[in-house]
Amino acid sequence: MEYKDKATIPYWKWIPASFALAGIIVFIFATYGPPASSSGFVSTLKGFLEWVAPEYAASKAHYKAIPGPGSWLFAFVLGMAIGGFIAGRTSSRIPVRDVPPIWRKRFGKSRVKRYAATFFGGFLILFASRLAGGCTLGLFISGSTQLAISGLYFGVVIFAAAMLTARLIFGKIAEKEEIQ
Amino acid sequence: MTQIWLGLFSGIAFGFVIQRIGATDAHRMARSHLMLDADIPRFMVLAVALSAVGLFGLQAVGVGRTMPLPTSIVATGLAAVIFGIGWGLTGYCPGTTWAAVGEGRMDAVFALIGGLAGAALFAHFHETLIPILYDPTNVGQITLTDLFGNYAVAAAVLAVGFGVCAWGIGKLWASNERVVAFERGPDPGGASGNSSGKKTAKAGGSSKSSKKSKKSGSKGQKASREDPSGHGDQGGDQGDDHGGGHEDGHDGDHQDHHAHMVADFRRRFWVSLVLTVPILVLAPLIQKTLGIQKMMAFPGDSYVQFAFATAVFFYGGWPFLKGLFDELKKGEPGMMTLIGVAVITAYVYSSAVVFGLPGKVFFWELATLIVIMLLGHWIEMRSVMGASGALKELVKLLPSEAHRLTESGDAEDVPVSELTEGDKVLVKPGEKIPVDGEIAEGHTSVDESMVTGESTPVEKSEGEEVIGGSVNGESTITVTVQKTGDDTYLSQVVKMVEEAQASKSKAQNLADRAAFWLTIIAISAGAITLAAWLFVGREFVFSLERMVTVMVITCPHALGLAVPLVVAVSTSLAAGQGLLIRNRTAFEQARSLEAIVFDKTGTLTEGRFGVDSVIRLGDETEDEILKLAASLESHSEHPIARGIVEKANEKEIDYPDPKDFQAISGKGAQASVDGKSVKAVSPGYLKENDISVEDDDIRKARDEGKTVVYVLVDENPIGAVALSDVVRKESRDAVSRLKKMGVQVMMLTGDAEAVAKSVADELGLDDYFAEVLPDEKADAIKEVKGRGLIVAMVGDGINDAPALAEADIGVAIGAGTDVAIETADIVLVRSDPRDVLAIVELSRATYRKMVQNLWWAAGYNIVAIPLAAGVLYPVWHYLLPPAVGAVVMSLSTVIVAVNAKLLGRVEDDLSGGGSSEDNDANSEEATASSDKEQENQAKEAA
Repeated sequence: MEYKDKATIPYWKWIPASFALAGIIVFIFATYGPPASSSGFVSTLKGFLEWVAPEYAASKAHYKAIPGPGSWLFAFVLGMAIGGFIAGRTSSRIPVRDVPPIWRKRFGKSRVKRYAATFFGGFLILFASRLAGGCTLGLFISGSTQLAISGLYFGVVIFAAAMLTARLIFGKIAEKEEIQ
Repeated sequence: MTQIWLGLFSGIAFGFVIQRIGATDAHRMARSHLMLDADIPRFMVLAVALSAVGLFGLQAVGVGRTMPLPTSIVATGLAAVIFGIGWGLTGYCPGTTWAAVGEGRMDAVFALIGGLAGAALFAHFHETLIPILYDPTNVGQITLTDLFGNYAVAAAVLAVGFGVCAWGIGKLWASNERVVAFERGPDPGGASGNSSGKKTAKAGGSSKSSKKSKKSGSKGQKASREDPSGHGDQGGDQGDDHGGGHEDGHDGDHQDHHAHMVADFRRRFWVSLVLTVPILVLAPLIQKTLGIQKMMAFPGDSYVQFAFATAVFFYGGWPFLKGLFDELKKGEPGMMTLIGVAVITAYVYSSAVVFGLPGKVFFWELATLIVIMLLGHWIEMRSVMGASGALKELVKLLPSEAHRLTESGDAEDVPVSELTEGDKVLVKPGEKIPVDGEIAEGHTSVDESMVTGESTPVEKSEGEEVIGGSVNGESTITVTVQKTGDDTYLSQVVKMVEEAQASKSKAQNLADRAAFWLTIIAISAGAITLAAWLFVGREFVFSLERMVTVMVITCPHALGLAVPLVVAVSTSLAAGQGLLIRNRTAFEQARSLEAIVFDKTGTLTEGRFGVDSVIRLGDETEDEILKLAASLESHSEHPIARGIVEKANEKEIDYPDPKDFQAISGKGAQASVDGKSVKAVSPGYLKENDISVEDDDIRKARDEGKTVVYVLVDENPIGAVALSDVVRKESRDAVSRLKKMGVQVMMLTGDAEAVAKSVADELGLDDYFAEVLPDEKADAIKEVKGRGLIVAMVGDGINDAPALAEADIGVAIGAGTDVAIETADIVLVRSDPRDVLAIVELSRATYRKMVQNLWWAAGYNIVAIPLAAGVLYPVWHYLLPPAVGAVVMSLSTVIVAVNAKLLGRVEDDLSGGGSSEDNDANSEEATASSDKEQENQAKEAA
């Protein structure tokens, strides 16, 4: 579905949305501790590996450090998927597009290309998240909330790198065409 | 178990919110990374600020757990860069991936699978990777509390900092959004404009092209035009950064692009300025100078400085890095190369120092250099009007729809792109003619001023050609389509302008030339320094530090402002005098102008008929002849008639009202004046009616290309009136003063040789080109350029556009067509040829000031470079102390700024300037005084 004007997409306003998110984060700090989502990937993997290759899973320090599926972490990422599902089902006006329009303008309609790119991108993101010990949520948001320099530093650099990457990939298209 | 339910609940709420804000929409994330949409980063930053305050509250009541987060500069930084690349590429981060999968986005499923693979790989090599990457640069679990000493203060600082950040992102991104919105045009229904532009630009049609010239009009008025032969692709896009064809139908597209560039520099400047503050605060030199070393220094501060400098280097320095690449690719090293070399050297060396190389870091020099250079570029871009968008202006002239006549004779509205050769279209009064064609039915006057620059409407009847883009006059006509798409007259002009612009030699401006030499000095002085120190046996590290110091100071900060400030001042001075500078390089070139070519009509002349002489053929006096002619012509609207009536009014001749006025089609008019049958007719009428007139004065007037109107009483010629295009009073003054300056003055016209010669003689021109067809104007300029002269062209019509583009300096006069203005480098607001003088004078003054400023900016290097290289070190162990270098640098920046402001003083000296009233008054005074002188001389002679 094409949306000519972003005003027609009923996204939430950023100020109330940030109050809502902050409320959830404070709730998580109160009931669990610093939230994280990339750890949820490890948690999922751990569950899978404990099923197919229990010895391997037991031999790796990284899996030892993160709890498996029967944990808050796994429940949280599963909950995020459910939350996304509920939000998606209850608002048909936010477009669900497998190939984002900006991507289509730059690389064409090919789904294979897009899927290959998101696979590769996902690979980079999770490898990097594990290296840093957290992601946008686990290091930037929860780290900065705890006033950790680490989180602030990570946040500045990820924004800078993402903006630079997006500019390199989509910059020319965005200058030339109407990217709504 | 409770934990699982809590986790699930938290996850659902979290996933719901991030879906609703649009963070799971990769498209929106990409827009946000491109700074086209500010909401997501603002949302994240504000959420963090609020959470920090919330967590403070939790801690105060003893609830809430935190976790230690060690900061490894290398590992965290590297991870963040890799993460950012993935984020920028996909638009997903781990959290949003889960929610997006739930939402049903297939690409997120692949991101999730890829993520699992990435996590698995890391887990596999965990033991190997962690020790290598974490140990050496791990600065520990530093928090803001460590820096500010108090948790509450730290939380408040973060909340305020992030709050300001959220506001700042909004401001910065929003400026970008405005630019984009502006590019789209104010009209939400702009799609129709877009599509019409596209259709026009891409309209295909017959490939037939013809070449013929024709003369039209009456009473000897000439209007010749050539339909250029050949055809080619019509470009809707002349520069690689310009918008695509979809924007063709919009107003001011190039200005949008220019505005976009200005906004880009402004944004980069402000962001870099903010990022520079922590770099300055953490710089040892500044800490030492301000005595805040103990307070501000902390373990690993050089890494923080490195992180900020990296951001400034890549974000703020990007235009220079890109410019360096572009200049080297073209083989024209200039300003960008100099800045690029300096910042790359400083950055690479300093980074190496941070990670272990012994030496000192240049981060604050690097950051301030980038900030000042960005400021300079911003000021310069803001003051100059920007590149031309002439082609789009041309395409805009054509209407998008036409009324095509069907076989049954009904009119249907169709897009112009659907018209084919032979179609008949109806053009109503006041409408633009959509295509080139021939009048099949009807008689009208056509305003071709937009195309030719000639202000007089041209009478056209059946069988005569009309040009697409011209405006139909008072009656409806039917036009047979002859050419469409790329073959139309306007498309041909587009092609010629495009070719001329492509072939225009790129003159390097002063700043680039200075930068070229400074680059050579920087590289060679650096190399010599390195070699010399190694040669005398000093260690590599010391020699390298000397080399870098030399290379960095060779690109002085003041250089960034030396030229832009002068440009800003001179541009505003120029604007005050009615000169709008669109291309700075061309304006700079005007100082060495050697030849100037004026388009005749409307530039040197007023483009209206004036009576030159009244010739007697019988007993009637000149005044009587004029009285009869004026009486008759007072009922006609023709330009020649107006000229005659004006002359009679000027001489205060009372003429009676004519009776039974009648136009003689194409040949003149007749009426009864004081009971006599009076006619004012063209030579063609005499020929047809076998009336012969032999008179030397008339022959002479016709030889000079003047238009002669015969006055007949009862079919007997009693006299004739010779008229010609009126030469502007100011033209004489302009020509003589330009010649005094050593500039050759030439004229270009489509008029006949005789007309051109008489004007050239009257004005004392050095050369002229007569009978030049529109498509040959650019060739004439090429010819003058071929003589080795730096040429300016002054014109106003669309047919002048290729010549304006071809000339070294294209000057359009303000009353001209949009296209001429768009193609020109400089626009004169008044139609006064004397303003060309002002351009030359202001250009010379500006140039002098720039040279002075470059000396102030770079001159201290003559002393500083050898000192920095360490020539005094072997004897006195003296190296230029960085603090002294910094003071000198700031001082030269201030001097440069003050000196640029002083350019304002030349305003008083500019002789060509002043208000038009002043000029008129001056010229009238001059004329009056010269008349008096002549009278005196005559008396003396008597």
